[in-house]
Amino acid sequence: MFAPAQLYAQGARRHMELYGTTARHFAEVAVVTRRHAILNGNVVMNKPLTVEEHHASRMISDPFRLFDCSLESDGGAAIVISRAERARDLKNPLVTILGVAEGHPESPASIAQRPDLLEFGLVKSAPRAYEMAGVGPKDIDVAEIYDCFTFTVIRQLEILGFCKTGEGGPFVMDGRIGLGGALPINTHGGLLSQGHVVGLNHVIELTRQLRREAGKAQVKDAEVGLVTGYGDMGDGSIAILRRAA
Amino acid sequence: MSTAPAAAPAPAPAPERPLPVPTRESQPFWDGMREGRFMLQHCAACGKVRHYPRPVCPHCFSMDSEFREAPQGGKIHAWTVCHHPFNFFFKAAAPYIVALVDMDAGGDVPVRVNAPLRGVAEADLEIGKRVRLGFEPVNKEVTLPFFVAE
Repeated sequence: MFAPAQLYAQGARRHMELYGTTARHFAEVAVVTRRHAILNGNVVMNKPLTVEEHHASRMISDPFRLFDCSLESDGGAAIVISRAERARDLKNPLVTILGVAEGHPESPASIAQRPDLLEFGLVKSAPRAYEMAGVGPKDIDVAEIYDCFTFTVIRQLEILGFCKTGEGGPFVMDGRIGLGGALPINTHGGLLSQGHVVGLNHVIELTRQLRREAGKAQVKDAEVGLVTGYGDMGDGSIAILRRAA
Repeated sequence: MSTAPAAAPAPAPAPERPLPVPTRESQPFWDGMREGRFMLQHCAACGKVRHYPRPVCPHCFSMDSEFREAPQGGKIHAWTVCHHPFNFFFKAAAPYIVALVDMDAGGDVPVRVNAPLRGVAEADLEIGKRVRLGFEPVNKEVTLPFFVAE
């Protein structure tokens, strides 16, 4: 009898065993995301979170503790997409879609039978989106990463080419994924701390970032950003957006 | 309108154990479990194994298949320790280990079984550790698999 926490916990455990990823790395994602949520303000979880509080939170499905798991929320979100020439006449700054792609893991019917538990659909879609967009990981100023669990953020950062496979844990440390860091992520608080509106709020947040409307959570001079989303258990969608000149 | 004193809420019924319901495709697997045998579905056209049982071969799309008995050993691929059970029936048993095991029957296609691992301490878990299937009869129809150290 499995729910997503148990299924993803096994993949997270495998990553820990193979590459030395630790609960400290998971905690960093949770703590930084919470910090961003508080800056956003329009969030469910609005109290600061420390690494110690993360480590002391109750175990759900080892290695996932309570604060490794996203929220269950009711909510709604909508996105309006228009032709670029039409959008230029609208009042908001124009944000263009540079590249989009989706990919499905092998054996999408069963996570357990996938040849590699850690090959999410994003393995297939990320290269296609980068190619369509004509940009690479080095060009990304801000990233909104589907964060059903802290671990899935770490693994997607690897798949997206921000670091190598196995290096996602150390990558998130030392302020790198926070505001002011090399790659600020989930600047709205994500599924972990803002609310779980099935990832659509990630798209909205990236749009706000590129319009420079993100308030206290604004990434300075954000020009190009990416957002990832999931469908069923690891389907990987990705969009790369750019602020138009 | 008079207000009668509220009756004390009835105690919640004890949760029932959730059990698999054998289907036309999976019946030979569950028959095997009852007999202490690990039965795996093979494609009659391309010969490849597939687990869990299902009507169509994911490799060649043939709908013809046959079940063959498979060895019961394997190696731990990954695991989790469930503290917060998905179903309340399992609350009393928590925390318990659920191991995802690469069965020896798998070749170029993995055959993995997810089942409780019993008699092994959390500290002794590692990828590649040898385990084998055990069989727990639950009722006349259903026998469930679990793992023990080999």
